[in-house]
Amino acid sequence: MMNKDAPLPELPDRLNENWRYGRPHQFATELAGRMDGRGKGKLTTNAPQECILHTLSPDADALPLSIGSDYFLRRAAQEQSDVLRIVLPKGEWGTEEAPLRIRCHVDSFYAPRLCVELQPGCRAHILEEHLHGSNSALVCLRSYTVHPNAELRLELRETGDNASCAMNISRIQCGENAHARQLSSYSGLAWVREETTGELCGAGAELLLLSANRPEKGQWIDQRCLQLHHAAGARSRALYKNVLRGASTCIFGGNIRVEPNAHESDAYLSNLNLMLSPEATVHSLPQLEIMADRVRCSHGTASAPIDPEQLFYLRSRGIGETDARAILADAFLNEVYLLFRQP
Amino acid sequence: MTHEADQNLPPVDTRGEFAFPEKHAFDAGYGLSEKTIDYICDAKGEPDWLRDFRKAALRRFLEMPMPTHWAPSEISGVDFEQIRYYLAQGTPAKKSWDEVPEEIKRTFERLGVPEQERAFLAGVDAQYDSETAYNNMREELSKKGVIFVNPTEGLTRYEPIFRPWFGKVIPVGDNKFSALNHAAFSGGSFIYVPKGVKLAQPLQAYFRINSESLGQFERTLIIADEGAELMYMEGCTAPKYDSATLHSGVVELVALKGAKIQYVTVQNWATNVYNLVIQRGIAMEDAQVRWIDCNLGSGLTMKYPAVVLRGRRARGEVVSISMARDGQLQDTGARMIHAAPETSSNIVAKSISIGRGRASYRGEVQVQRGATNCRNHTECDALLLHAESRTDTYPAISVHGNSSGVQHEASVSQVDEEMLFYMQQRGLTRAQAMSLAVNGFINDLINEFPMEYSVELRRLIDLEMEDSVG
Amino acid sequence: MSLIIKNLQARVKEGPEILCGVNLEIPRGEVHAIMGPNGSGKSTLSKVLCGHPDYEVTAGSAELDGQDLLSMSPDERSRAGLFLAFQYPVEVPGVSNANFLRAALKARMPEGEEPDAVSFYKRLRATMKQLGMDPKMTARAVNEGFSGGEKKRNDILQMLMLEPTCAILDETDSGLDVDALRIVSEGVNSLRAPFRSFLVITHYKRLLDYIVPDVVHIFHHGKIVRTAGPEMADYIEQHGFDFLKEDDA
Repeated sequence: MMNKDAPLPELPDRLNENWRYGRPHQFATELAGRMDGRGKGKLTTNAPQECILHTLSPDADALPLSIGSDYFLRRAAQEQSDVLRIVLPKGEWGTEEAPLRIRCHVDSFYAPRLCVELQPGCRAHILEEHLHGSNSALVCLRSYTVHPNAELRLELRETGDNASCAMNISRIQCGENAHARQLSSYSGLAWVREETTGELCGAGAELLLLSANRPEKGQWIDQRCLQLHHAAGARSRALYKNVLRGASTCIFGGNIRVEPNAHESDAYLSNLNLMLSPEATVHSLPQLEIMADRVRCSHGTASAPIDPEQLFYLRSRGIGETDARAILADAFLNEVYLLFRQP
Repeated sequence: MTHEADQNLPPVDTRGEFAFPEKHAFDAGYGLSEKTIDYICDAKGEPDWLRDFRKAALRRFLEMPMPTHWAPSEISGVDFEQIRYYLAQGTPAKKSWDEVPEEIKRTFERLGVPEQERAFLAGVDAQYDSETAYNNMREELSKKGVIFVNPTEGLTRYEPIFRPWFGKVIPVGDNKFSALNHAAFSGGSFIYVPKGVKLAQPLQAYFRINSESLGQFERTLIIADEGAELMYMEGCTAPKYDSATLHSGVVELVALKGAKIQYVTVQNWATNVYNLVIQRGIAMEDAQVRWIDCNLGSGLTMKYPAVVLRGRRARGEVVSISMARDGQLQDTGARMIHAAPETSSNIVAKSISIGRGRASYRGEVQVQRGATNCRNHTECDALLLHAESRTDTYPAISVHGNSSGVQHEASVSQVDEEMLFYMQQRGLTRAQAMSLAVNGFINDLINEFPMEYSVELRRLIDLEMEDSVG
Repeated sequence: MSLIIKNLQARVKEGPEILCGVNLEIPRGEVHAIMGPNGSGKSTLSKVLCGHPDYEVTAGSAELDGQDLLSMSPDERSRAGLFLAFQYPVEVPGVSNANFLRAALKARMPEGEEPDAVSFYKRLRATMKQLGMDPKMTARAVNEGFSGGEKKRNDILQMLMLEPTCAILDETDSGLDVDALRIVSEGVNSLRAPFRSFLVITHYKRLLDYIVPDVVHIFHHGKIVRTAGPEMADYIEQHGFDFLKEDDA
C-alpha cells in the first residue's frame, strides 16, 4: 500500500517537461480550494456483485503511473476517497449497445481509485461516466489490467459545468495478445488533465488510445499519453483530435517509448486539431524515444483551419456555410468514433 | 598522381585527427575570470565599451544556471574551469596567400581544400585557432561595398554598422552559453552586404581547433541589407585530443527587407568536442533565411538553428543532417518563430544512428498571436542502423488562431534487409550496400549543399560505413 | 434563356487576369462544349461561375435564369440550380456519401424539413445502379481514397441526385476508361431536358461523341475565340489547336 504519511513530492513546475505549457500551480490551487478533508462523490457499477471488491489486491495496488503528476497522485491518495475494484473473469461482459457501466458522481472534491481487471479470455465493453455537480473536482486514479487474450473496449465520458475540473491519471496494461481500446471525451469542464500510460507487456498486444473533444470558451484540455513498449512484437496507436472554438486551449503531449529489446514494435501517434476560432490555442508535443531495432514508429500532428477546398465543395452542392462548417467539424471527429467502433 | 606516390601519402582521415606543434604568443590560460577578459581585450586592443560589455556578460554567465528545459543531461559534462579561453598567434591577419604560414597551408591541404578553389573563392576567412590567420578579400567584393572582417575589427572599424545588431538576435541573457560567448568571443566573421548586392560566389570560412582544452567562441554576425543576397559556408574539422574541448559559437543573421541569407555548416569535430552552438536569424518583410546544417562529429552537439520571422511574408528554412556514432549524441533540430502574418517555414531533418550512437531531434514551431495565415511544414526522419542505436524526437508546436496551418511528421525506420540482400547478391559488400542505402536516405538533403560539400559528405558517409559495417 | 455570361473578367486574387472578357449564352435545353488548349482558362471559368474563393471577378456579369450569380455565395448558386462536376473532386474524410447528399438535399428544402429516408435511399441506390456504382459506396467518405474514375462517377451521382438546371462538367472525361465514360455519359444524357442546360469543358473530342453538343466554343487566352457547330470538335481532333497560333501572330 502507498504510505499516506510519506512527504509529498514536489509540485511540478513549468520546467517539468511533462507539464510544458501546462498550469500545474493553478490546478493545484483549484484542487486544494475544493478539498475539505472528506471526499464527496459516489462510484457505482452495474457489474455483478461477485465481480466487485472494495479493497485493493496486493498485486494490483501499485499506484497508476503518472506522467509528471506524482504530486497530484499522492495528494489524491491522502484524501481517502473510495476504492472500486472490478475483476471480470473469462466471458462476455457488456455489448456495444448495452455496455457495462461504471458511474462516478462528483459532488465537491472526489479522489477515487478505480481498478478493473480483465482476466484471460474476457471480453468487455465498458462505459465509464464521470458526472460532475457544479463546482466539483475529480482526481481519478484509474488502472485497467488486460490479461493475455482479453479484450477491452472502454469509453470514458466526462461531463461537467464550467466551474468543475478533472484529473484522470490512468494506466492501461496489455498482456500477450490482449487488445485494449480507450476513447475519452470531455465536455463542459473548465479544465481537464488526462494522463494515460499504456503499457504493452507481451507479444501481440494491441492498444488504441483515442480522444475526441470540442472545447469552447476558455476551456483548457491538457492531455498526455505514453505508449510504453516493454515487449517485442506489440502494436499501439494513439489518435487525439480536437475541434477548438472560443478562447479554448488544448495541450497534447504524447510519447512513444520503445524500450531496449522491444524489437518489432509498431507504434503511431497522432494529434490533429481543427482551429475554428482566432482566439484558440494549441500546443502539441509528440515525441519518440526509440531504443530498439526493426521498429515501425511514426507520429504526426497538424493544426489547421477548415480546408477551404472542402468547404467550397460542400457549398457548391448547396449546403450553407454554417452547416458546411458544422458537417466538416463533425466529420473531423468522426474518424475517432469510427476507429473506436471498428471490429 | 601515380600509384606509388599514392601509397606514400598518409591515409585519408576526414575526421580531423591531426596534431601540429603549438606556438602561441598569447595564452589566457585555463578558467574564465575578469582577468581573462582583460587579457583578451588587451591582446586584441579592444575599446573600453567592449571590455565593459564582455565583463557584464561574464557576470551573467557566472550567475546563470545550466539549461535544463531544453537540453539533454549530457550537457553537465562541460567543465568550464578546464577550458582555455584565448589563444592567438600574435601575428596580424595576413592579406595575401604567400604570407600565410606554411603550417596553416598544410592544414588546408589535409582538409582537402583544393588550390584552385582557394583562388576562386570570393573571400577566404580561414581561422587558425582563435584568430583570423588569413583574410583575403577579393577586390570586387570591396568594390561592391561588402565588409568581411573579424569581430574586433567589425566592432571597432565598422562600429556604426555592426554594433546596432550585435547581440540583438541572440541577446547576452538568452542562455548561459550565449552569455559565455558574449564574454569570451574571439574569432569568427562579421559580414555586411549592402543594399541590392547579390553575391554569386559563396563566402567561406574554415575553422579549426588545434589546441588541447581550447575553447573556441567564435562570433558571426551577417547583415544582408535590403534586397541583398549571400551564401556563407562554414566547415570544420578538429584534431583529436584526450580532454574535452568546448566549442560554443554564436551566429546571428539579419536579413533585412527582401534579403536572402543561406548559411551552410558542415561540422566534423573530434568526439571529445562539446559543440554547443547558438544560431539564429531574423527575417524581415519578404526576406529569407535558410540554414543548411550537417553534423557528423563531436561528442555532444546541441544546435537548433532558428529563424525569427519578423516581417510579413518572411520565409525560414532549415535543412539538417546528422549522424551519430558510438559515443556521440547529436542533439539537433530547428526553431521557427512566426511573429508576423503570412510567414512560412519549412524544416526537414534526417538523422542516422550508428552503433551506440544517439540522434535526437528537438524542435519548436510557434505561431504567435497576430501572426495570421502562416504555414509550417516539418518532417523528421530517423534511420537506425543497429540494435543498440537510439533516436528521439522532441518537437513542440504552438499554434494560435484559426488561419494558420502547421504540420509535423516524423518517422523511424531501418535499412531494409531485402534491399541489402538484393545489392549484395549483385556483388556489393555489405558496407557498400549499406553506404548506398544511407546515401539514398539523405540524398535529397545532400543535394541542398553546395557541390563541394555534397561530394565531401558522400565520401564521409562511405568511410563511416566501412568503419562501422565493413 | 438559361445561362448568360457577359464580358466576364476574373483573376486569381492579386494575380494576373485569367478570364479576359467571356461572352456566352446557353439557352435552356442546349448542350454547349468549351474546348481549348491547356492553360487557356477553361477550368477557371467553371470555378469563377461557381464562386471559388481563390478568384475575384473584376468585370462583367453572369446570370442564371435571371438570377445574378456573381452576387451569390457558392451554396446559393448551387441552390439556384448551378452544378459543377469538378475536374478534381475534393476528398471529404469523415462524411459519408449518403449523409453528404442528404445534407445537400435538405439544404434545398424549407427550414426544418428533411428528405424522407426511405425514398431517399431507394432513389440513391437506383441512381448508383444506373452509374454502375457499388452500393457500399454510400457508407464510404466522400471521394476519400477513390480512384480518379470513381471520383468522377461520384460527382455525376451527385448531379443526378441534385437535378440542377445548369450543369458544368469540367474535364469529366479525364481519368475515365471507355466503359466508365459511356456509363457517365449515359447518366448525363438521361438528365438532358428542355428546361436544362449543360456546359461541357473538355480537352478531347472523345466525350463529345457521347454527349453530343449543340454548339462548340473554342477558348483561348481567357476568352471564347470561335463558336461553331459540333463539327468543330472533329476539326480539332484532326488538326489540334494549331490554328490558334495564327490568331496570336
